[in-house]
Amino acid sequence: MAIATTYTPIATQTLGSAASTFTFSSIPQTYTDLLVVSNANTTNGSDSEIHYVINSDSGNHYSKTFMYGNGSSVITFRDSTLSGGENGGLAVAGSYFATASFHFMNYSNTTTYKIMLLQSAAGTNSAAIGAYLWRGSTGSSTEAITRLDFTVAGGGNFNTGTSFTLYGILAA
Amino acid sequence: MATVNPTLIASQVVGSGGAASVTFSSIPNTYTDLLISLSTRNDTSSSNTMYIALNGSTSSFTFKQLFGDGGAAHSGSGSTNEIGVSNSAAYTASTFSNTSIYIPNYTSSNYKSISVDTVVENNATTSYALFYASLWSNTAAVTSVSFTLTSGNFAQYSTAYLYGIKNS
Repeated sequence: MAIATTYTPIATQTLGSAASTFTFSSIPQTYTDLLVVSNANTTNGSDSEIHYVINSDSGNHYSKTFMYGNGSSVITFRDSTLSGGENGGLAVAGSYFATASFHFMNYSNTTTYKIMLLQSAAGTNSAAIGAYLWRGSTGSSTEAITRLDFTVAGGGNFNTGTSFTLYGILAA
Repeated sequence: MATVNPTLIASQVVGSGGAASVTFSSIPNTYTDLLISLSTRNDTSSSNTMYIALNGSTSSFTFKQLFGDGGAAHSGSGSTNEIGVSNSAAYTASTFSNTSIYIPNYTSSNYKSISVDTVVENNATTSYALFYASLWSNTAAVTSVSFTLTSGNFAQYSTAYLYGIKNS
């Protein structure tokens, strides 16, 4: 059975020069889910995690359950007081661009906390999956997602050629 | 006109007698990313590893993998073109593995990063769910993709779908 034609590109950005932030603002509320696909490299001297925040909220309102394999061992950890989504994929420092997908479920509803599922593929570093939760800008609110910002965790820039694309996915 | 994603580029269904490989060639360069969906089963019971070739090349591949077998989580790595698993003939009859392969920016002059979800099912204690981070250290645009097995053939009714995804 063919896959339904539901990946509607909302916005895409590819860096012509190094920059610290990718921003998707004024996100339309007309889809069911959001999918962000990154292809990321960093100017930092080592592989760096991608950090994201929702609706410019940098409060301690995020949690994650994360698991990754580095080729020899499996590591899993849990944090419930994050100030954004850390370890949300990788920007690698090597000669390629790591891939990550960030799937935000039911982002436009105003009745539930927001879940994001992560898959991160960095062929020389790790394969990782994660489940993230955002509890709204007050820590107990359920507003819709209207803006997403992605940065290199700990500072630094994404390298030239790094791309982030935002897709909308309709349930029907 | 609105972008239609994913767009089916080509599909294959393995017929009676099986097939030693599945190949998509002359892939158009008009998309941003490629998505490949596989449902496969082998006609041998000796192995269930699946391999990829890009542009006919089986070299310059590396991978990290994260997987579970129902009892524990594991991680592995390699410098081969391993890309997933396929249900072997020893597994429960009429069950097929599922594999989803995502290749972003497949026409770029960068090395190609590949993300792979793959699961096999077996009516037994042990089965596998795997996630691969693969890398093809080659700057050529991807124009063909092939899949093979360690040994034997893809069994009848195995399917492969190639989709193109545009970012605008």
